[in-house]
Amino acid sequence: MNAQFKKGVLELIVLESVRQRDMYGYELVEEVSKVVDVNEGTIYPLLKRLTNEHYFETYLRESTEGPPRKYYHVTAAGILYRDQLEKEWMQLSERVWKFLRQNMDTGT
Amino acid sequence: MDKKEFLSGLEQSLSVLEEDELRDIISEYEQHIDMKVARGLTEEEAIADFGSFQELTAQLLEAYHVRADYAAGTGRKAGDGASRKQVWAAGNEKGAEDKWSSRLWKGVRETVFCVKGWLRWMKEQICRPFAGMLKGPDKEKAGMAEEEPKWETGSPVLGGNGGFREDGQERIRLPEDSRGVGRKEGGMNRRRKMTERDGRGMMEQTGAAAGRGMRALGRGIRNLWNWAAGVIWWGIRAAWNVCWILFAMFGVVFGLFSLFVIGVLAILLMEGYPLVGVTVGCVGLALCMFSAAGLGGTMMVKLRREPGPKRPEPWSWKPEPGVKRPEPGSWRAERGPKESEPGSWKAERGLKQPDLRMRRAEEEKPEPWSQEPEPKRPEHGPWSTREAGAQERKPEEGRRELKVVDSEFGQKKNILERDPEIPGQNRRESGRTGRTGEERTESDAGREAGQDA
Repeated sequence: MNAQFKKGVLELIVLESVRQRDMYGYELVEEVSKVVDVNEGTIYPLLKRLTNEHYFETYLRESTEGPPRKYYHVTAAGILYRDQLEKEWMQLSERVWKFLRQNMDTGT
Repeated sequence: MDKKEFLSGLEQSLSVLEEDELRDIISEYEQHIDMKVARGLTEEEAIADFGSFQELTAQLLEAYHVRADYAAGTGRKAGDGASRKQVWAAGNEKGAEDKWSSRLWKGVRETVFCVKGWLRWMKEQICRPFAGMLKGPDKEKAGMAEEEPKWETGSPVLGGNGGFREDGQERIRLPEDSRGVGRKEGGMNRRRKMTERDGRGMMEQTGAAAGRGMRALGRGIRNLWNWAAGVIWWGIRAAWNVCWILFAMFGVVFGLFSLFVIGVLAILLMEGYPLVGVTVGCVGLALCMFSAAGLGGTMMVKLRREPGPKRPEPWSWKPEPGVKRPEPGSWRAERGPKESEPGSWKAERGLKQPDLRMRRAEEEKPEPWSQEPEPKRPEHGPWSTREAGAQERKPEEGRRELKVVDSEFGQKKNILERDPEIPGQNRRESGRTGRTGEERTESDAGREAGQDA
């Protein structure tokens, strides 16, 4: 997939994933990788940024496999932001789809 | 590149960040690598999945609104003390300048730095003509051969190998503009560099060193002057204030004395003495004296104290082992109120304050509610549950309470943890309607957005 596409939509995917349930970093990377093939290095900075912008809040939870894991939880502001992103994404994809269909119809 | 090198490189590259944040990031990456290793990958493979190290650090710094090319602009390493100081100073420059002691210390440091630079430059100038005499050409050549450029992996440290660096097994071509960023002094063979340089290069180097020294000297003088100006201004202000304090005291004392005289005159007046004019004069004098006292009080120059940022409430901080309390005046304290605190943007927008439930949970801590049966939960989704939780927050059976230190202000929170051993508990229902993610429609999203608003 085009890297620019992924970059634009990655925030939405991450927000939606964490909205479904609280996740820790590695889990989130795996979850996002199911949707888009993404470089793992880009997820953590994104998480940091979203946390710094108060869209996520973090807490520690003990783990049986090692040290406590840092879980990310989406805040109310994060949910609003996610909804806004979703709306924009739907509008964009719909317009692009219409444009492509129109051109296809005209071509045929 | 193995895990240790990667983490040390990351630490070095992100050293402009606060220590706690840095530890947090390092531990997260360490955990990630450990998990990958536990699943059968090697450390190198796990690190390679992160992609370009430079991009990674740049993105991390960007998340904190720190310029990734800051070190490139100054010609220093990101972890260099001076550049770090500048980054910090960018945040609290105003606050730092208000302190004379810090300005004095800054000036002394700059001056020492300047003197050291000049001494180094003079030493180089003196020793340069004798460099060839001390070691012959063959010996010099041998020295060149044995001292290969040293590479530092895992950090944007570059050598003179055409902009390549060694990252474990492969060499990665770096962009042109990043060459020379964070180059370590002494990483290359100094004599080799000197022999390769022509006269023009030496002149340029000498000029640059002299320029650096002059700039440092200028900075030192400027800081000392600032400090001296601050002291003079403090003296003038103190003298001014003392004068007005004395004036006000004079007014108060004479005003009280006038009141006493008025009282005496009033008694005499009642006994029939003709002292009406004197009494009225004394009343006027008393008014004048008290007015003078008021004037003296208002004319004093007060220290300008701007409304400072809200610091974490006393209740929110309890010392936690291994966690530093944010210092007053630090950028952490100056970031303003947290989203859940009164006065924050969130409170202004009328949004829910999730920390309230944390406080209530903390207050209700002694109650043995964890032994009670599971309370009846509302049928709707977790969004409504969260709102209801602000009123009465009781954990379900199988949940545990965790004390968590928030990364923003070091505030202590109680988190209700779901027991991972109970299947399905960690799975939160999707959406506020209680349906799964696939069932959630666009109309639901619109309705929820309306509720949020």
